[in-house]
Amino acid sequence: MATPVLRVRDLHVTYQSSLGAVPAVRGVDIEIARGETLGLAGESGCGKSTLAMALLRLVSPTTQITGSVLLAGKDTLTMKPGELRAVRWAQASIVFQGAQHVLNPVQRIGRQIDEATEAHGGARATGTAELLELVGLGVRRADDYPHELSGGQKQRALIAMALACDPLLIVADEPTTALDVMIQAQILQLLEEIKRERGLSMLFITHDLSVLSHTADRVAIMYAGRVIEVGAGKDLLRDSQHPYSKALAASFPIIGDPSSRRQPRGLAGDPPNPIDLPSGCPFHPRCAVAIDTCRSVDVKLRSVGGAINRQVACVHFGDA
Amino acid sequence: MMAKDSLLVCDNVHVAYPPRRRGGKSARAVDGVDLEISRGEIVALVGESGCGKTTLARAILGLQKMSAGSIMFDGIPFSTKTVDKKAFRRRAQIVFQDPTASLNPRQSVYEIVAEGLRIHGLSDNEHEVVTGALERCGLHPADRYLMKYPHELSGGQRQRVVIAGAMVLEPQLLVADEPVSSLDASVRGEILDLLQTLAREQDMAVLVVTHDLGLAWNIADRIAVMYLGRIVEIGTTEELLAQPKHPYTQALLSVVLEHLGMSQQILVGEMPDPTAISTGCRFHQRCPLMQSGEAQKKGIGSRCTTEDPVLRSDDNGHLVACHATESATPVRG
Repeated sequence: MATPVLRVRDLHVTYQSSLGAVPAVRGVDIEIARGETLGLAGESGCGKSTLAMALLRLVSPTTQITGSVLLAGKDTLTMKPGELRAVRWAQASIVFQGAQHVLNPVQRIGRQIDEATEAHGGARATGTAELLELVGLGVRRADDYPHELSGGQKQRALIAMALACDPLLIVADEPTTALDVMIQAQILQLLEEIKRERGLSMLFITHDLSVLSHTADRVAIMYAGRVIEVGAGKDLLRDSQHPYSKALAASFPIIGDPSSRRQPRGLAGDPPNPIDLPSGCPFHPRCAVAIDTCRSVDVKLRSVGGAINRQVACVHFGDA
Repeated sequence: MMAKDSLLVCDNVHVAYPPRRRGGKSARAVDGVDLEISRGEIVALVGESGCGKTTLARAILGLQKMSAGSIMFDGIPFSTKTVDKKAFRRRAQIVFQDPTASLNPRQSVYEIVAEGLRIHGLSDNEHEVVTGALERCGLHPADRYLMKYPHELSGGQRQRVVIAGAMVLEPQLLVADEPVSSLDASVRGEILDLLQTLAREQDMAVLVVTHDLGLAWNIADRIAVMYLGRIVEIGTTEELLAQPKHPYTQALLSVVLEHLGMSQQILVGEMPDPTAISTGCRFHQRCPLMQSGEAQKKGIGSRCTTEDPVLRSDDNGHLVACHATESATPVRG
């Protein structure tokens, strides 16, 4: 098998706060093959965005990162600053969350795209005009300021920016979250086309499991800094195994499914505080099927037997 | 057309915002809406940003002046007299999208919930009423929450406090503007369940303003789909989602149902500005029927570009404003 574009092993990210160390990511292993989209889902505070930022060491210097992040075979965590700078954007770029606030309000769109590439070695595969066409904005938008664009158009500009240095991997952090459903569908379609044409890999981060069911080849679900289930994208919404994934999936109702009609389902309780995680499995206080063991043992992600290619971190699944 | 138990009747409501600069056009944010809500009924008002759904909700609450049309609440037309307005506001309450923004960070939960009672001079057994409202909204024991401040609560708990603050006045109508869109997915279901339970138990009508058809499937009795200032389709949740008739509703639904193997109909472009509503059907420029040539084949192409379709009803009371579906009887002549 070819080397994966991204291979993350035992990644830990710990922030320092006035209240003490905050373990935001606690031992994550993920892999993304060439041309593959891995969806990363979870609720706010589960560590998904932290994980994304840590891949390119976009965290404050006081934050501790351990483990390894092999991007095209090279570990970004041990790179020298110059090397890292060359890798950022050129090998892996990011479509940041909140298109509304990412663009510089007093700089023209075209100039902002140029600037992103100049900062990273100036290697340009595609011209700005061509990029703008590619994302469906049109060349004449190069002279516009961000306030002249709609939310969807701003998101397109950010995608153009992410493509500027022809990266292997795009990390998209909630790229469609603030957008209307129709615009969201347009952006997802655009990302899909670009990915196919260019053989890109993608890490697609979102809280919206329903988006991933048709955009991601595989989906990883995070809870309290760990991946608790991994499986094929189209199966995970319908057929999740981990009790948390099940509850999360159930909160995205399937229209037309009588079991969710007039029965909105959620999960009692709140996500745990990362500074003060429950013992054992961090999900046990909210889990309907928790047993005594869950209070003391935190089960690692392991393969579930049977036909489905699935890994679950739960005492009820995959007993060795 | 008026049902016996209808609580709210909007008749040809218009809201136009004046032009931003001299010589400009006014924005017709709400452009002729008819809507009826019965007691105890949950209606989802669905549409994309900029379609006028929030403006309509504000007009219904008397927070936004109408430029034409009328609204009747409980059989009485809207009055502009301050005394009447205050009495009305006790009976119609709102829950906003972001509970963190709608709560005063320096007020305790008790003060927040009691504020409405004090404004309306209903201070008898204040403590009891406040505690009762909190418990009904799922914050029990209420004593544990009374002295807390918003920052000490989770997002879901904050939204419960906001809802309790509205429920304390025992309103007949609750307008909820995107009540769960700023909350985490797992919390969402619980808040929706709460709204549904309150509607049932208090016989309270709820107008949920949302872009989320899944939410509507979860709790709404009826769905009204809004596009560019007008309701283009309205019907019971089951009917409208199983058999959407308006091409806009069909496209919206196809996008969220893609995982069921339905082919997506992604509309080109974005919803136009309400200062530039086109002649004819306001949807015709983006309409898949026009673009595929189907409208022209049906011989209605020229009507779509010149004649504004009105809402027409089929036998089940499912209303749609589209020339392509016209065998039904018009609701308004």
